[in-house]
Amino acid sequence: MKSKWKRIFAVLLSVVMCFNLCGCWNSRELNTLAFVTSMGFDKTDTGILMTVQVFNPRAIASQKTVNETSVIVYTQEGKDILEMLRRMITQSPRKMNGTHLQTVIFGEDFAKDGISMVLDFFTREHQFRTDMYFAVAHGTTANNILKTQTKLETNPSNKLFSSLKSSDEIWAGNKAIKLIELVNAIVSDGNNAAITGVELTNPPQDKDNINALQRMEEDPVVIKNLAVFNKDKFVGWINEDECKGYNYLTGNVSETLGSAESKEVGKITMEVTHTDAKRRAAFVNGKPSINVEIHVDANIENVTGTYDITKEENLNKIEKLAAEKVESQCLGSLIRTKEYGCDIYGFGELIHRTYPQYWKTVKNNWSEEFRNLPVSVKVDYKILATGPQGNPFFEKENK
Amino acid sequence: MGKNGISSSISENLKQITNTIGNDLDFTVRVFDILLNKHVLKGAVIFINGMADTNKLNSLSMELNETILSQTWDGLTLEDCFIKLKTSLLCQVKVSVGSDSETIYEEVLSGNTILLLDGMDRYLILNTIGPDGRSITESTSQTIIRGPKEAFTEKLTVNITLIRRIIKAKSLKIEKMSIGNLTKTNVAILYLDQIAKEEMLNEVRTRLKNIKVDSILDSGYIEEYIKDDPNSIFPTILNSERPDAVAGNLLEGKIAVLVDGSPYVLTVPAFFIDFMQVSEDYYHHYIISSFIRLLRYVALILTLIVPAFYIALTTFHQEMIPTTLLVSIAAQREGVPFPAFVEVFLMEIIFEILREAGIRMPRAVGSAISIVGALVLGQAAVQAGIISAFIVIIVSITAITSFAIPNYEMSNAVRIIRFGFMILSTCFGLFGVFIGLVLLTLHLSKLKSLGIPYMTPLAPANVQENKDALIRFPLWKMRYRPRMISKAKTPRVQTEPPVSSEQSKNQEIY
Repeated sequence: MKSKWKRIFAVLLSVVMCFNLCGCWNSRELNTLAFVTSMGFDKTDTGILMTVQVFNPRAIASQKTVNETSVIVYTQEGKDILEMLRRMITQSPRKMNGTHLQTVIFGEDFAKDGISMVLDFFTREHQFRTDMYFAVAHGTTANNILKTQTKLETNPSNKLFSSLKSSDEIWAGNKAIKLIELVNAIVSDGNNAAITGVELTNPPQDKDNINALQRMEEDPVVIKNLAVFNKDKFVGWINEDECKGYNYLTGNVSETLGSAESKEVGKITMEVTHTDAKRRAAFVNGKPSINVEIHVDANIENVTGTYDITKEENLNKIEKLAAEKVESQCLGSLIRTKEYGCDIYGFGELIHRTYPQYWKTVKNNWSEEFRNLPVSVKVDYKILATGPQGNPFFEKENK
Repeated sequence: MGKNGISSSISENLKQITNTIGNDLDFTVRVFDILLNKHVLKGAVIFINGMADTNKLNSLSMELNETILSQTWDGLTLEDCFIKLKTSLLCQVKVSVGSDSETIYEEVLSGNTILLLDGMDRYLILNTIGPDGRSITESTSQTIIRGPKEAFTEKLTVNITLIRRIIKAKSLKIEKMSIGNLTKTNVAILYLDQIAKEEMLNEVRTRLKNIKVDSILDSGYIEEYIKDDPNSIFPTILNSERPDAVAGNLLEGKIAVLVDGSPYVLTVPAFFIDFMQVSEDYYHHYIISSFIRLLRYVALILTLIVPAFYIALTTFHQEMIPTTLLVSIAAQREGVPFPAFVEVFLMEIIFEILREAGIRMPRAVGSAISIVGALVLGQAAVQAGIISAFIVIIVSITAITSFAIPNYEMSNAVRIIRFGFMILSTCFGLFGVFIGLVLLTLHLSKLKSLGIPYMTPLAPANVQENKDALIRFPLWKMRYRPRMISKAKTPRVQTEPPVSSEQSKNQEIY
């Protein structure tokens, strides 16, 4: 009998002890929490201005139209992120909860000073997920962007999140980067980070007026350009074409548009369905060089003009033109980044992997070495299909 | 004939019996005279009106009358008369001879008729046990779409017949015993000789014999007394209202316990998977049956943890909810005065009350409860902002899924455990839920039914027996009976399907 009680006690004890294992956690009701969907960081004279966008559940899901905005913005100045976040309780009735943070926007000036403290906070603090996107405000402050209402999505940060994600998938004119990738790019020796830019076009005069927003033709918040970083510090911008080149060079294009344009050909637009970048490091005359072979598969989607696309040689011509376009995008991107001395392509890593001994000698001076790194780009463009019709319908009539 | 034998004087006997049974409301004594050798020989018939079958009594009395009035009595001895009566009545009902005074009461009280003859210290027991009671109807608590619809009745003999009609084998053995000092309830053990294991049979016999109680009113009493772990909430004895289900179990080597007065037949051993199966599974196509079985397990898991998960996710792990879903949940929680736990608990309790009320209520007011349940508790409570609409969905999911568990006892067990999970998740979040799941698994693995692990064939894993567990293999693939239960080693299926694939390909009949 005694041993039976002993056993029961042992089982109970081990169960009770289990409950001590669950670490730091706390029970909080949904309606005591304010869910932060976006955070913005700007530099001020005294320190940091943190802007926090919190969704307003009542306004978002209400059946009736409520005279409330779908998001609420809080700002707080300070020097320390956690302190600012906590201090917001003095303004907001609910505790800030960062578990659903979707986008983090850096002001340009803030990014120039370095974003490492923010990244450290996000990776160290337990409540954050790692799947938020990062962006840099171009020509404005993060605060301004977060204060702006957007179209279609009621939640501006949701809009930013979705358009970053989908444009990364089908447009390739920017780079959606998440926490882990960003941190890896920063801490890696032979690599640098690039974060997409966000711009305010034609900011509405009356910010809170939803009617004014509806009258606008263009969404006020647009994704544009790419911010290039050296370590954790912002260096400069590259434009859309250069950004495409960057994505081609890193093999990051999953779907985009390609085009061939000349007097003879007219303008032919293609949907790029598959790309692949083979990157190799080589040694030529005691100097390292990089060879990138880019394979692009594309389908013709739109033909402007009367060019006969049913002929094999004409197709080859189109392929060549399109390949040249991609090549020029790549080279443009290389020229610009070499100017900045920022290897955002990870070529340094490539050399590190192929020639580890040599890497040790250039490791500390990679930024300079990169400026003089010869990179040869070869594009192999393949048109797989021309769509269900051969030549444009209108060709015959014209002849 | 010992001290318990009856006296040879009929008046003394009648006096004693009348005194003991002591009422004349249904207790009937009919006295008749036989003219034997110029003497009057007194005889008496005793029965209980209502317990004895009226039809049988009528034909008996006609036969008795004819026999008495026949002219062939002269010259017979008393013994001869007794035998003459016995043989003449034998053509109407089953007749046996008794001499014990105690047996008279037992026989009379169970509906038999006793014939006493003056001067004899023996009596005739005429089998007039009463009408069949309720006729065989469709099963009400275990309904099916396809398959035999007959259900057991309260009458033991009828129930045995129902099984015998399915299994017409001489190896179907029946053992009878009576349990209950006052109710003297007849209990029968049914099994298939050669297939049921002897040790299990002995175990059932011993357990039944050890029951020492006044009354057995339903098979539920027996179940509670012979259960392996009486404190476990999980049923370890299967009850069924359906003869085909019981026959199926018998054919696997299980043992059935039939209780007079209860339309629910017990079968032992019963495993966890048995409570998630219905006999209909074998009547449909095996792919469909397998799908439905898996569906039931999904339902089981859902009904167990959906409310707990909701509490855990909304109060502890908001990061696990997709952002858009979180927005809509948060919007509904807006302005709701109670914490999520109170909300869920309230609604679950109300649902359980609604369910209980629905069972007990007279049919005539049945519609009232659905109106109150659906409109007042569902819609109005949400509109009034007392609970959030999401809770109504959660409670509905648990309700619907709990009905998908085919066995009522299992469904009840899960209902209770669900509340435990809700408390765990309120205190410890998902961590608590998983601790609960671990404890539940431990408990289930510990349970036994008639000494065989409850989770068979999942926990002592057995590939062969898993052919009829979570999914159902085609019938011809289940060649052997479950080895844990049955002792017969011969295959129960001899052939592949008689239509071979080649046949169905080549043979064309115009």
